Amino acid sequence: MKSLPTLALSLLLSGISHHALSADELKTGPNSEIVAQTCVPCHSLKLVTQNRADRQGWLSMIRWMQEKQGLWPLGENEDKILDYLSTYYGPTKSFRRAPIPSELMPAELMPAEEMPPAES
Amino acid sequence: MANKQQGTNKGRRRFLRNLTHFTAAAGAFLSAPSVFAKAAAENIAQTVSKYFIDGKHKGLTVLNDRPVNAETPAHLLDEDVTSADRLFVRNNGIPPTDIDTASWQLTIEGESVNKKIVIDLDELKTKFKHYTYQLVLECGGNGRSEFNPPARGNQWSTGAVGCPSWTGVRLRDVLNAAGVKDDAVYIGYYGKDTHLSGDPAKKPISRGVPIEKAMEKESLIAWAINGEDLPLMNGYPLRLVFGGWPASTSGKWLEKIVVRNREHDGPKMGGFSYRVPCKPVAPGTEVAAADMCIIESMPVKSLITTPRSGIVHAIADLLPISGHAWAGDNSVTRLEVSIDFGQTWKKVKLSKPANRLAWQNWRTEISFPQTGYFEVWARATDDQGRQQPMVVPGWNPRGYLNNACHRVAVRVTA
Repeated sequence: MKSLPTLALSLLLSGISHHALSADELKTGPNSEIVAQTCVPCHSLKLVTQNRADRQGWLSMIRWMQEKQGLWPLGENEDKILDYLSTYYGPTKSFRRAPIPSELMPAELMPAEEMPPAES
Repeated sequence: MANKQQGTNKGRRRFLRNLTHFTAAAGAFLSAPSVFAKAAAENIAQTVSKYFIDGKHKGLTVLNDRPVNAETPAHLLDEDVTSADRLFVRNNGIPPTDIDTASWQLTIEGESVNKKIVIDLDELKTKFKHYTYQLVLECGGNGRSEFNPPARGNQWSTGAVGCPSWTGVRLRDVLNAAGVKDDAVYIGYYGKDTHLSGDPAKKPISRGVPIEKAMEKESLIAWAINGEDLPLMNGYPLRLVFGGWPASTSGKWLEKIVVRNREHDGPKMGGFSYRVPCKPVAPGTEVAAADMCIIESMPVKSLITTPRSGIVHAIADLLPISGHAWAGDNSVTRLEVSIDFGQTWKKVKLSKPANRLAWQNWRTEISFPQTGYFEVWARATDDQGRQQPMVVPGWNPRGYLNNACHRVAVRVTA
């Protein structure tokens, strides 16, 4: 069985046209080529483009792929990939109704006895 | 109401505590001295406190300090009749500063009056019969903060509304003293507030209502809230009050009313101000000014004023819930609450309004089926069968008329 980096390399060499086609699915921007090259060896770019996350969220997905799915260390590309993903596939702010604002939520860490008495 | 100050303190305490936690964590990480956290907390406390408005409750949330705009947290609107110091503040310009009531005059003129009249405050109070009504005053942009894509302007949440008792004279009595011609279609007001630019030739706002609304018996030229002079920020010494319509129609620091033979055309009558698309549009749509229509009666709405959002509640106890409901020119016929995101609703006892255009009070108690995170939702239905939506209703470019169900968060503990 081929290791993932070898698989990636062989896919890159044997499937340039496939890769070029896939890259079109990503929004064009700095480092989109690196993202396409890094992702398509193992999965469709559709799996990227249907997700939204902030930088930390994308990093946790990368760490999960590294732990469970055999993704190789990304080295200096990691920051570039995170820059791209958090910029072009950041969390969507488009909602029909947002959650109750945080300042109106119960303070989970505040012990009940410290809460002020209810309004009379 | 002995505890009302605690609301402010609690919010700030929690904020400062969070800040301290954050800074302490950062401090541990960076080995920064903890005096920094203390100094930062004190600075922030000072920054917060300097935005209090004279004569207004310190719990109001100040959205803007030039011009001054402030809204009332829902739990501070718990009174059946809103106290003057808790009524929201919405200014388009700079309020007048040197007010001389002895020389204050009100002029009635325009194409559609028989004769121009000028009345001073004493004459107004002695010549015309006094009336007192409890009237809902709500900013057309109340709820704007929930629209998405966001609409520009003051990001009102739920607190640009109140229902004090107003005393004054009927607008129609004063208009009739000048004589209203048959061709009258609209009235417009002018106030003594000045434009933000400082340009004395510009008025910050001059709006009004159709003559039919002006002639209603509840439409007042008022000088008092709850039996006392209007607060400066709410129009002292004289203002209009049109219950149930966007509060921008109820001109403050009133010095002139014009009776028009066409739709009034003062600042903020045209363009996109206090208008929504004549036909519904998809969120984010660019709408031409010609396709925007003036907002008239406000939609059905309600508030949960007890409990305040964010409380911790013991499951063994019943939780008292109460609030108000109103519906523009209409009345509210039904009020329901839900603690399961609208899957089931419980009908609640609703009071009759003190008079037409006053809000109605409601009160109940609920128990919770288990511990955990709950939201209490309230939904009002008006006498035309129209209900509050559970999601944010029709998007519009300036973010008016959000009457989505109010929600408060409750953590139920063992």
